[in-house]
Amino acid sequence: MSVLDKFQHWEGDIWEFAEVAESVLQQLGRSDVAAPNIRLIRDYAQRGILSPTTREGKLARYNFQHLKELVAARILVSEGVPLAKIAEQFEHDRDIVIVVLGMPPRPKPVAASARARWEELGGTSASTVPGVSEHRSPYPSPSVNFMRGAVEATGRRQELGQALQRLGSESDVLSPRQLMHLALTDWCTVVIDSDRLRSLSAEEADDLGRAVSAALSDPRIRKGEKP
Amino acid sequence: MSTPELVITPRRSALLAGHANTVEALVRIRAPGRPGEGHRRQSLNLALVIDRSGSMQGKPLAEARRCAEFIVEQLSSEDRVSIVAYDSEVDVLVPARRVGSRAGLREAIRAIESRGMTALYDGWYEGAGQAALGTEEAGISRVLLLSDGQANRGLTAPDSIASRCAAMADAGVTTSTYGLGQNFNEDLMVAMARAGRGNHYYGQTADDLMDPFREEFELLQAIGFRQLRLALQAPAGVSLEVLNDYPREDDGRWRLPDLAFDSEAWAAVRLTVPAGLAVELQHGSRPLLEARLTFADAQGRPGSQSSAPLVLPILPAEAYAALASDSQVAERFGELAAAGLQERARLAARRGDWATVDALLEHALADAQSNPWLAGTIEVLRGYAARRELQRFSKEALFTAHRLRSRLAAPDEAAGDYSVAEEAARTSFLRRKPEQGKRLEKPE
Repeated sequence: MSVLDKFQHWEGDIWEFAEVAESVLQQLGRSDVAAPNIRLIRDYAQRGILSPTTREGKLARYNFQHLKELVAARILVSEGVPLAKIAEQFEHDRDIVIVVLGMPPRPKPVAASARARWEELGGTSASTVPGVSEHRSPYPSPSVNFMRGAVEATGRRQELGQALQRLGSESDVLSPRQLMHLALTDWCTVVIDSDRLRSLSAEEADDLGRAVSAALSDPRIRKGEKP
Repeated sequence: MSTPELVITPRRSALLAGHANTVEALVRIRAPGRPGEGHRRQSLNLALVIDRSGSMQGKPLAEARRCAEFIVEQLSSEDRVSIVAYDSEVDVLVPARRVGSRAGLREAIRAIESRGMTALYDGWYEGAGQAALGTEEAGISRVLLLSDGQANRGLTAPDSIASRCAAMADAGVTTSTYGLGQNFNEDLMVAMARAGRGNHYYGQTADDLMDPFREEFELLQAIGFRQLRLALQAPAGVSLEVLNDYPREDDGRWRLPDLAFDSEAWAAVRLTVPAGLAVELQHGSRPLLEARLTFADAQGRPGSQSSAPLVLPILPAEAYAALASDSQVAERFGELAAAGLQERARLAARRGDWATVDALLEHALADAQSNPWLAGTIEVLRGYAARRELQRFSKEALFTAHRLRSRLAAPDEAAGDYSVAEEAARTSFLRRKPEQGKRLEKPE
C-alpha cells in the first residue's frame, strides 16, 4: 500500500489540504520539498495545476485527486520542471500525476542499510561529480517519469486527433462524457449524462418519464422501425 | 565455535646484543579445516554484471555468458542471484531472486547480445542495487563485475567509483571485478575490488576467463571467517610496519582478506628496535609483539583470538650469526619485496622507461632464486618487457603484485617447494599461478 492510498477518501478545506500535503511529502521521504501553503495552493488552482474544486458555501473543498496533483507538482518543481510545463501537461492529462507518483512495486522488504546506502549513492552521483551524467536507477525520478509521460501523452494526443478526423469528427479532441447506466430491470437500462443528471429538476424528470412512456407506446418503435 | 589460530613467527628468533635491530615477523592466521557434512556454507547473494559493449562481440561475450552460466549452475537453489547487462544502457535482465529453477536464468544469459559503449559505473550501480535487496538473507552479498573496456559513459572517475564501492561494502555488498583482454582499465578494476572488499581478476583472452570465476566461486564457498581485523601491539619506542598494504581502520587495526577454511591469511611485520630498548625489554620480560584478531564466523557470530606474545632473547654476535633464518618467513618477505619492484617496474613501463624496467626485473629475479614460483612470475614479466608489450606487462605486473601482497596461502605450502602439477591439484584460490592473466594449464 502506498503512502497516498490511505488518503483515497480524504476531503477537506484549504487549511487541511496544506497540512495533509505536507504530511504526505514527508511520508514519501521528500522533506526536501518545501511544504505547500495556502497562497501556493491558490496559485496552483489559478494556473490550472489543480482540478476545479467543489464548493461548500464559500469554501472550496479539496479531495484525493487534488492531493495527488499538489504533491506531484511540488515534487516536479523541486526537480526543476517549470510550473507552466506542469500546468500544460496536467491540463491535457490529469492521469500523469499517477505516473509521477507511481513508483514500481519493490519486490520485497529490503535490507534497510544496504538499500538505503545504495539510494544515497545514486543521489550523490551527479551532484558530487561535476560534468558526469547521472546514473540510471531502476526507479526513475518523478521528473523523468513526468517528462517521459509528457512525451507519450503528446504522441497519444496527435494520434487521437488524426484518428478522429479520419472518422469524420469535426474536432480533433474528445469531449469526454460521463454516463450513468440506470438498470431499471435486467432487460431495461436508462443511460443518462451524469452531469445533466446532477442538475435534473423534478419537472424535467417527469417530462423524461412521459417521453419514455410515449416512445415505448409507439407501435413503430416497438417494431424496431424508425419513429 | 571454531576459531582461527594466530601465530607469530620471527625470521630470526633472537635480537643482536648492542645494536639496533630490525625484526621481521610473520603473523599468520590459520583457519581450521572445513567442517564436516553437517556444515552449511554461507548463503550467497550474487549480482552478475556483464559488459555487453560492442568490443565484447564474438568469443569474449560467448565466454562471459559461459562463465555466468557456470556461476548460476554452481549456486544452490536457496542462494540469490540477479543478472545485469550493460553497454551504453543498463538492463536488469533478472531482478534479484532466489535461484530456484535455472531455466529462466540460462535463457536470460544466452540472450545477451553485444552493442554500444561501456557505462561501467551504471552497470555496477544496478548490480549493487539488486544485491542490496538480499543482504539480510544472505551470508555474502557480492557484485561480480565483468568488463573488457574503459568506463566511457556515465561516472568514469576511478576514485569516485571506488568510493561508491567502499560505501556499498560498508553496507554489506562487496564487489569483485573481472578484466578481460588488453583494453580494460586495470587501475579502475583493482581500485573497485579493493575498495569494494572483493577480489580482482583478469583473463588475457576469453579462454582465460573461466579460471578466475571458478576461483572466486570456490573461495566464496569456502569462506569461514570474515571481517578479519588485526591489532598489533609493540612497546613504546619500537616502530612497527605492516608491509602487505592492507587497508587500515580508523582505530589502527588492519583489515585482512576473508579467510577460507584450510587456508592461511598473513601479515608481514617489520619492527625497528632501538639498541637500548632491547635490553630494557628483556629485563622486564616484556614482549616485542602481541597480536589480536577479531572476526565474524560463517554464521556471523563475532569472535576473537590472541597470539602468544613474541619474546626474543638477546644474543651476542657469534650466537646470533649462527641462528638460522626461518625460510618461509624469508620467502614471504621476499615476495613482498618483489611486489614492490614489480610495481616500480610497471610505473617505469608506463613512462616508456624500459631500461629501468629491465634493471628492476633483473634485480627482482636475482632475489627470487630460492623461490621458484616467484622467479617464474618475474620471468613472465621479463618476457613481456623484452617484447615491449606495455598493456600485457602493466596488467600482469599489477595483478601479480597485489596477489603477492594479499594472497591466502595453503597450510602445507613449503618454502622453496613448487611445481605446477602440485599447484593445479590445489583448491583454485590457493594456487600459485605463474601468470595471473592466464588459466593454469594442468601438465600432461
